[in-house]
Amino acid sequence: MTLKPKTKTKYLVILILFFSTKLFGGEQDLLIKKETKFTGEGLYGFMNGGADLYLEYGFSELIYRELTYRGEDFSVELYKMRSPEDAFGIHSVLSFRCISADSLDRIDCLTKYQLQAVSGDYFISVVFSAGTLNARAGAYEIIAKYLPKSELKINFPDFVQQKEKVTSNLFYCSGNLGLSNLPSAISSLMDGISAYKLWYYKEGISSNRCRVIFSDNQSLSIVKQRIPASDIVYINNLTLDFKF
Amino acid sequence: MERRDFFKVLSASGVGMAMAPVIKAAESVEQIAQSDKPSTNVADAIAAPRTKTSMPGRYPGRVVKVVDPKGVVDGVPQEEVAYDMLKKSMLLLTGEKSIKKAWRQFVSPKDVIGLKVNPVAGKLLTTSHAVTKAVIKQLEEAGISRDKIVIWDRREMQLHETGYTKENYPGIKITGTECQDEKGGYYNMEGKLYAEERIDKDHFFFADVEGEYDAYTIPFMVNGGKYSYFSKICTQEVTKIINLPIMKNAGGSSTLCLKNLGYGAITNTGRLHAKLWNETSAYVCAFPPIRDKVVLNILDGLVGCFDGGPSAKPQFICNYNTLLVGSDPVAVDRTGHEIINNKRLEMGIPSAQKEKAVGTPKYVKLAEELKLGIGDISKIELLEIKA
Repeated sequence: MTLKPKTKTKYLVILILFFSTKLFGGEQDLLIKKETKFTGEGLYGFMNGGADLYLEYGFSELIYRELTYRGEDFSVELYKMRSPEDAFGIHSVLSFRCISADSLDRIDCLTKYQLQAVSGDYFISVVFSAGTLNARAGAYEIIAKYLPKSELKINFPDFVQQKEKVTSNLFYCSGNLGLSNLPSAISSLMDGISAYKLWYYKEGISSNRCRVIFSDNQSLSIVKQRIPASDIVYINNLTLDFKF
Repeated sequence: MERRDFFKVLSASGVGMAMAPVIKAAESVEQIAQSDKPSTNVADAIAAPRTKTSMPGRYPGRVVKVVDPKGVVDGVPQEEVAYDMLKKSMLLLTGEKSIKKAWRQFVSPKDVIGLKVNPVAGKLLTTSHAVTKAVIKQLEEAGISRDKIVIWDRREMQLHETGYTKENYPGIKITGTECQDEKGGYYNMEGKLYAEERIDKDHFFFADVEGEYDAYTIPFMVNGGKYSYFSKICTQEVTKIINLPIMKNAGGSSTLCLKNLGYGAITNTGRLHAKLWNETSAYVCAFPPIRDKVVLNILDGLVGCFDGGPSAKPQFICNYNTLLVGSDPVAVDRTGHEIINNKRLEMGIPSAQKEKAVGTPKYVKLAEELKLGIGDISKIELLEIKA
């Protein structure tokens, strides 16, 4: 991963603050002001139409907390999704211009006012309105406290196994709402197809990759016909891998 | 084609001409109800006689856009700047020289005026207090007393959470359809939802989609089944509504004036998202409690979002520093949608190019067919003010 020098410095300060708070932090610094749980379609009660995207990714439970930690205000949303891939999927479409340090083993995305991360089938978002370095460091510690350490692993496609960074480069979706966050040409390829799992890796102009795992052969055949034969990397059972 | 080319400033007679295709298009409304979508009772709305205040109101197709880079400072919308932006917009929209006369075109001291705000995305992305307070201040200058103003949304608790409290708005009623008691409970002593007292079963939107909710969800939906009831706030309590939505995307679409009303005025909405999102946004606004009472739309784009919406995701929040003002919610929505999509293009959102090609969102087209306003962007009279 390549970061600009200024970004590197910022990131280093955040990490130092994070580890220093790990050493000296304590429960006495934490005040939970509100805690609410939403399950299934109850998510509409939390975010109305915004729930649709999460439901498409197999949302099952949200624990929402508003808290103060070390004098900073945070809101924390911990989502349990259908699978580790779905947790990664919702993370992938909500990541934008991150100061990101993730890898296949540690997936997160930090912006000025938000930190989000994935562990197993959990997705967490921590929002801090202050936007200070101290708040960002606090957000890392909150994630350490509230994001469960899951043993479940994301089943990444093999073409990204050796890559350093996945956030903002790798996307996963299994429905139209997630798909709408990808380049429109991919949406066109998937027109009329339902029940699939799609990975899209954005590596470079000539070497982007897609993997679609279909639920039936007919859907695979339809999409295969829409792709130039020279772009197809392999077809195996219901899996179609192609350059994009 | 450049964005400017989409906008065409029409003369007064041009506006009249612009309405013609809307009226003609209404003949095909019956066909809307006969599509392969679940059936609804939108025909009841179409059959209800229109009034002189029915949408699109006094200025069909006219939208005032005002932009001021000082509208938001350090992430905080500025009340004085918002006041000035709104004042300029109202004068330009109405052609009046006095702000009192401008407002009195829409409301009178006899009215009970509901300000429909949008707090659903929480503190980060609510209708700004800067805009809401500017509206209230100008209403007072127009001779409307504070006890005739009601700030409302479907969820009273979200109003409180976002700062719409009696402390911040002394003398003004803050209310919602869904509500809690002081202890946070949703049910009264008889085990009935408090919200049931606040819905009007004489006014409903029927759609052939069953709402089924668990115990967690029902307080946010009020009822299940195939009927969505209108809130008494709009059927009984207020005589006029000023709509104050926020400039937000909803996936590749937008959630602006019509959505704020369509999903904000009725119960049992969870069932309507999957199959009838566009239809609900348009159809509900065609029913008299909304169609005949909403006199003005002020789209708050001081702070908004270009992706991640309708929820508030800080990474996608931006300062548009913009207000859009008009009596015609369809024209305001079409204009707002264009602004959002241009921002999505600018920010490199992958699907924005396709959305640009699609153009007018479906809910705008449906609303235009229902004679609620003008959705054809080439027929919108856009009046721009730059600070």
